[in-house]
Amino acid sequence: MNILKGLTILSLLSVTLACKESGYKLENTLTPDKLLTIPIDNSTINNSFATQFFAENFFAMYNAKMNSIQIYDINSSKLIRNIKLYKEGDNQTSGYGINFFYFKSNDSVAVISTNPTYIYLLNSKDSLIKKIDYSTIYGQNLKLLTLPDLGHQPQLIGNKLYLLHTIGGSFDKNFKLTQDNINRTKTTYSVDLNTDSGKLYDFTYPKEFINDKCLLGINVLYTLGENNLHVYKFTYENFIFTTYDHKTFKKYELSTSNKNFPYRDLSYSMDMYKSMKTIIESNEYVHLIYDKNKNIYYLFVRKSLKCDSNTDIKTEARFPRCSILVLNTKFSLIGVVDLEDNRFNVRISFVNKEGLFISEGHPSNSNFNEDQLSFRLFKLEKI
Amino acid sequence: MKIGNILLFVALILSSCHKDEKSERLNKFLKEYDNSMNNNIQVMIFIPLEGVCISCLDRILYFSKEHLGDERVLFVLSTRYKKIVASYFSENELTNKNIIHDNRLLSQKLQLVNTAPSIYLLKNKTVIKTYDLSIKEFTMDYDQLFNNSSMKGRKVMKELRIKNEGNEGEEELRMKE
Repeated sequence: MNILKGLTILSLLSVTLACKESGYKLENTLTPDKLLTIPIDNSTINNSFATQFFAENFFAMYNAKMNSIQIYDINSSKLIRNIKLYKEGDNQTSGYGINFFYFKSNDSVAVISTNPTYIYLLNSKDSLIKKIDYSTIYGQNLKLLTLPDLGHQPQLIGNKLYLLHTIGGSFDKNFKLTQDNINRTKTTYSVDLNTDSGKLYDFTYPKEFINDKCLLGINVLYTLGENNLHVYKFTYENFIFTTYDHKTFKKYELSTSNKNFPYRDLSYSMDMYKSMKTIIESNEYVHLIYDKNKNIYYLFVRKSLKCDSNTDIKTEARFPRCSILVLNTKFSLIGVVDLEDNRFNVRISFVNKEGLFISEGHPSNSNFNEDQLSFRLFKLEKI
Repeated sequence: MKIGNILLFVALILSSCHKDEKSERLNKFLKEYDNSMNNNIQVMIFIPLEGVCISCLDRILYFSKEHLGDERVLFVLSTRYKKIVASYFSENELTNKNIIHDNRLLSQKLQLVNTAPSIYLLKNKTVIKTYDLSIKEFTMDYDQLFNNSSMKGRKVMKELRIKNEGNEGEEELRMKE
């Protein structure tokens, strides 16, 4: 009897130790809930590279064709404001190239233009308050801003707007990280919207990436966590870096069992098909969202797909098949959810007090409707 | 010398195979859309309307408007979105027989077009030359499009070339839209 009791305790102890060793318990899941639908007009398609959810209730989306920003009220599912932007003239409020935006509130929006390199500040009447030329702010190696889709959204702390620049656009073809050029990979800078001053921060690609391989194709995901913690996650490898001041950093390694993040050589990136094929055939981290209500992070992972002659490579590249890793504030894995293939457009997702909303605007979705935005709510639940 | 001849022969075989393979893909595409290629078609223009280099698009759309109804040209509009097609072409324009709306993105699956428009010059239903209209390739000789026979085509393309100047730089970004 005593031996049996001893064996039981021993086995329980070993199970506990095994759990501790793995570093996480998957006690949570994301359960699909209601569908939120918002009708859109004929000039709007249900996809955009620039979106933002703000002030608890508003979803804003850039309409590239119309060069406008549309704001929808989530509660009423109605368009409540359409900010027409102008590419020229005295009232110029946008650039000729890529434009994206950040809403400080419903009364104040910063339109960020890549060409010319201006930030246009608009008031509640869509009028220009001022424009800031940020080309003088950031260094010669930082040529282009990173587009805000998939984990590159601008963030605001006080009056400072934090932006990421495009690594690929700044590097030479076949750029390889070395001890000598690592400072060329500083990823973040801020623009003070009050004083127009800017600052480039000392956060570079990690030394672990120094090797003889081309760095193109490896991006950094960025978000703000609790108490304005800057959180960086590279699309390759399992490292997460955090900092409050960009002087001292903490490094975490994701405690996921999935180590299958093969290095992607995109040095032949001028061959678009080959590049896209390489991308979709490998796992990569593609999106990072912080949920302030639950104090957790959602980390989206592209699931690799073996291509064949029937694979729609372009669609697969634009609409990644994803799993979501749910992480706590110590970046330990507390849940994993596999999203249904060909149903979601993870580029458009946001969080409110109800949970995580992910667009169902995948063109292969059997319920795809061009005339509406549709979001599936996912609620965090204990298993 | 012999080895050189053999290599030349192999190269010729390979290049001719390459041409046939392109023609086969074109024909496969047309078959899927129940549209057999007739001998009159001299040019097929594939225009991707989503995930595309916008500047490249502006130029080719301008050209396509000039040649709607021209039976020597077949236009393929590649997008799943009806709204996107409607934003560039009126209902009336879309009734032209020389337009195919490739809503299944088959042309992209068959790698007939990528992120910039592509042009296939044809003779007797066979591809004789292709152009990828990404920004760097836009110095092509457009006179070839219609066997040097169309003054109108030449004029339009000349205008397009002028319009195109000074637009480089933002292409990579625009493709992400």
